[in-house]
Amino acid sequence: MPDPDDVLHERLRAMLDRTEAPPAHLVDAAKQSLVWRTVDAELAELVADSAGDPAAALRAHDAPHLLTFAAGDTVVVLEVGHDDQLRRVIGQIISPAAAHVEVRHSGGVISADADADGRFRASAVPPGPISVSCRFDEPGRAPIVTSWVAI
Amino acid sequence: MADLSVGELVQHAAKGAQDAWDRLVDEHSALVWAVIRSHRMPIGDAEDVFQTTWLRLVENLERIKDPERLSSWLVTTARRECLWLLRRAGREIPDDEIDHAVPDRDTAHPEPVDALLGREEHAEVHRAFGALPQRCQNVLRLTVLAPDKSGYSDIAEALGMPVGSIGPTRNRCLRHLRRLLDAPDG
Repeated sequence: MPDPDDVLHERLRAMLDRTEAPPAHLVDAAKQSLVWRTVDAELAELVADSAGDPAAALRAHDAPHLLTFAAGDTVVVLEVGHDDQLRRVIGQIISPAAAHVEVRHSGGVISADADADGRFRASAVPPGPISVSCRFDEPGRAPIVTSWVAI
Repeated sequence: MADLSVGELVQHAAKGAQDAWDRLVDEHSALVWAVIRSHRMPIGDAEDVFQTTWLRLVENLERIKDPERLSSWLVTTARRECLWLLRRAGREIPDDEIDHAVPDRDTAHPEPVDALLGREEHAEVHRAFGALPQRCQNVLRLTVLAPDKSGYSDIAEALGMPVGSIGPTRNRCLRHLRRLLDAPDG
């Protein structure tokens, strides 16, 4: 005689498998995300987010959304703005340097090279997770890639 | 490939093996989705968290300290993303109000779910499950779907509950579910 708890557990699993499975398009996208694997760049982790700071949120409701990433001595600050349904990203690399910058999003890549002052700009970025990669013109400076973050 | 452990699959995926990665996604997607569902987020945010969680795993494949405990890493990452998005939007629902929160999409819009349910057997369980308090639904959803049976620490982490309370809550909620299923009018 099977344990009645186990039987109920299995009925529940069968029901949840049918009604609460993740949508197929999300599972497919997750499988495709392996293409974003980078082997040569240093990961810049998110170290500050103005939207997660309650004090900043109180100061101004429509203040710019700033995301700060750091890898070693390099810092990348992203300012995210809204253009209708799309996003625009203005970036600053510190210490400033010219770089080939790519804003990577679930549907592809937007190139946005940084000038000698380390500034770059990308518009018409689709909402959702993004990651920014910076390959510096300066020889010997290791490329960095920011951690993925939803904007 | 079939006999590889989760840790070995992580190592293969870190070297770019798509088949190993696909298997990791297939085996853990339901768990990640269940963690996100337990935070009752708008669908757009839920999709963002799901995608971001897997992208984070891609960037961390070589950095995960204990790859055999991948499910724990995924639960922690998904939960952190959920809390971050909820805080950012200023719409976090306090724990003690969750039982009284609005019904989720499935119970609010039963038609598409009916098509998925097919058999009356599933429909009956679905109705009873939907009548449970939110905390019960969350605990049962995660205890049923978690592939790692080594303990309830991942689930406790996902739900922000003490680890010792998961087992007793699961048993209490299963009893509650059974009572609802046994009730003559469902």
